[in-house]
Amino acid sequence: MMNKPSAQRDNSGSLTIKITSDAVNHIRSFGELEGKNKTNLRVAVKGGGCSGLTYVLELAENPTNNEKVISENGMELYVDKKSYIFLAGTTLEYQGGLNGKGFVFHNPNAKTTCGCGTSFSV
Amino acid sequence: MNLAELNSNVRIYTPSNYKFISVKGKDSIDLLDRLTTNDLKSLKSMEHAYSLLVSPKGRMIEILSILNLEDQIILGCSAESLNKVLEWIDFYTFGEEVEINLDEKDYQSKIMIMGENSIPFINSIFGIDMSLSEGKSMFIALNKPLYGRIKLLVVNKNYFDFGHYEIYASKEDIDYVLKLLKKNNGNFEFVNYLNDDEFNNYRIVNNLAGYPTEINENYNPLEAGLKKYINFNKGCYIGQEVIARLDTYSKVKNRLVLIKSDTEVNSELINENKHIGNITSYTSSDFYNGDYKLAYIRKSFIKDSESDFNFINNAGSEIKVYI
Repeated sequence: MMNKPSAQRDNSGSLTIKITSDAVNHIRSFGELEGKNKTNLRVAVKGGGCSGLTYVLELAENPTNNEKVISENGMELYVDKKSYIFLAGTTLEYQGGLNGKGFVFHNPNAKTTCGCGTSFSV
Repeated sequence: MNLAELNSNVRIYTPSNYKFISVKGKDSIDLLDRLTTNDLKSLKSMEHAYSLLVSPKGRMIEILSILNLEDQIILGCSAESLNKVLEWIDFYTFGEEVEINLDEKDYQSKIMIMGENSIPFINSIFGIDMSLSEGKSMFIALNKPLYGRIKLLVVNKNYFDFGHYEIYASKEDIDYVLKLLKKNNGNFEFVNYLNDDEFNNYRIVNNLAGYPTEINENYNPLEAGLKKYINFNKGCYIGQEVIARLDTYSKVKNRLVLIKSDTEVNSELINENKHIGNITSYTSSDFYNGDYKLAYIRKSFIKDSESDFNFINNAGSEIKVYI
């Protein structure tokens, strides 16, 4: 028998991570390009980058045991507990067009960000 | 003081305040590469490099000695900075597959062998050619009476860039090797065994930054003369943007220099009523009367001096600055 993942679902709505519908559409299209039927998103943080902490985005189908699951705009976001500490309250949006930056994190925990915007410090 | 003569002798030191950390797991090198200044991804098996932990503001946390043993990475740092280093790495570790432990078995202690004659000295004692290029290491086996063969790790580290080898082993085995060295100086007349104070004097006159006096969060690695441990092509690491900017736009404010004064001087250096720097380390009074010191001095004061110069501080003492 397969073990069911024990990821926690967050329905509280407080200090959650938000993703805009435009960002969801872009992630879905990336998933389709990779031939995935079901596309969700793993959002995480890792050490490194000029400012100390770097954002990580990864297409995912299911959460792992230690991840929190946040449902937003029809997409599930999977966040490990340590990353969540640094990401709570963040909104992920997509800035398209010739001058757009692609996926952009609006993170209220970030005190400073590096020039290219991929890393931050708290 | 004749520095050339001082460095041609063989000097041996076993620091009492040094710690080894074992880092295992497939993400070890990747994690350390993201957290420190040097290029660790190209560090091959049995290779050593120094790399600095710096804050996002580019200030120094500690200099790490990093040796890739393939199955694990051996990190070395001062005992005083151990907790800070472990906390720093832990803070920036998320989902990586790494296991970090204080090494309490294989590598607990080390012998530093310094000076231009360090390799001829080691070769004559052990009877094996241990010449290694900089940053390389090797294992050697040694017969320990009533015990059997012991394994020592020999590393050419070159923090002292005129010859600097180190031997890593357990505490007991290092004690045995130290006894062996003391019993047999080979053909070498001048072999000095340094205590903590003497090592500190030696480090100071060679203008080498130490933790926590020079390596601390008040200064960046470019000020401390540690630029050779920064890789400017490796991409992002913590503090990279600030360090790259300081270097590119020549914004480094201070420079670590050796100074000499035969009178007692305050740690704050003032010239013509302007603060020009701070003394960070003092040699002990039994070493050239404690005249030599290390100081961070404003680059705007040193300007582009290419040779040693003297100045008078506000208390009327003459201070020589070695460039």
